[in-house]
Amino acid sequence: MRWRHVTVAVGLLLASASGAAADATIQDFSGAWQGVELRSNGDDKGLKFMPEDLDVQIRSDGDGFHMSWTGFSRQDGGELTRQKTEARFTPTDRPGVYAFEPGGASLLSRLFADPATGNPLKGETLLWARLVGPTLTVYSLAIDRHGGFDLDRYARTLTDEGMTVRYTRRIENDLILTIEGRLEAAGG
Amino acid sequence: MRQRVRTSAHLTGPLALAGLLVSADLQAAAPDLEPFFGAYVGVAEVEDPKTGDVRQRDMDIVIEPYQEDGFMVHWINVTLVDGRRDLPGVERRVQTALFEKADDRDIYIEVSEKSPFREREETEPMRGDPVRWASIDGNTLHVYAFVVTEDGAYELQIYDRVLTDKGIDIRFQRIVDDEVLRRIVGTTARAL
Repeated sequence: MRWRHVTVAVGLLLASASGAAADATIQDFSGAWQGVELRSNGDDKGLKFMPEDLDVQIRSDGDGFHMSWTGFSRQDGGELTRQKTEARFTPTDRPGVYAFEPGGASLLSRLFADPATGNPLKGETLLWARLVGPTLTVYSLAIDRHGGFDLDRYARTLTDEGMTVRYTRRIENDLILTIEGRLEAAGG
Repeated sequence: MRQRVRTSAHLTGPLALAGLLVSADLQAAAPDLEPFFGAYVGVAEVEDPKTGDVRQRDMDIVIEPYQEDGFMVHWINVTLVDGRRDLPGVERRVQTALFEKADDRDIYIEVSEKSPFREREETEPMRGDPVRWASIDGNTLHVYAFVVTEDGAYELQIYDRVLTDKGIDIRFQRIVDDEVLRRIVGTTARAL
């Protein structure tokens, strides 16, 4: 009986913790985050990944947010290359869903499609994000001129120790690359 | 349409020349597509990877030219009950998809029968507009459907139709936010 009470108490604590996580806001993600652990699985196309590849800066910006990170891209099936990337996201009329904001786009975000007029079938990369529970996920879809496509997904989840990230890269039928890692608040 | 244009090549004079030019244009537009044209009958296994549930399905597929350089896929799926199609609970689904060649890219874009030039209008994936396209890679006809879901995740459907000696093989995946929710593998024979 006593153990049952303990179990219920732990359950309530966990529910409370996850309840707090469910209320995560962009402000909770704001800051500079530094990759400290990384493991990858799949086809890295010769690129050696390092924990700093996970570094990300997130800052609340009006009712949206600004993010800069290291992306990976390939040209016509060639080698994977690092690409410094930044983008501003604004809320859509769907709760928790953010679209790329093209206003004031810089050289580091020029490839992304204007969500109002862009079309991934014309070579522009579709970029969007969603915030659910403790996880902020950023997606991108790029379709090449032969119909092949790259679909990237970065899921960044707040934890008691900082942040975890899970990156997946799908090229057509196959999930070809998975990177998982841990980040800490820079300077923290 | 294709047959009518070829017939015009038998005419004489400028009209015949015009017919030849049109014919050459049409035939050049779809050489990769032509091997896929035909009617196919076959069977498939539909798997739910989460539950391991596997169901049998009969398939009837027609692929034929559409407009000048596109194609149409029409298919009927009959999901069997205990391996039979004459028992209560049998499901029959009929679908048609039309594709037109993109102007400047090596892809085909799905169009609506009521609005065959819809692909030239802007789509807004962030408002839930599906992005559907097709491409040919050797002996495989890929058809993709992608949508940003209401909750901001994505759903991706991949249909591969692979030419074989006797017909086409079918591979299908339905993926939601990186999770494969349905997998179909099937085989067909070209129908006489």
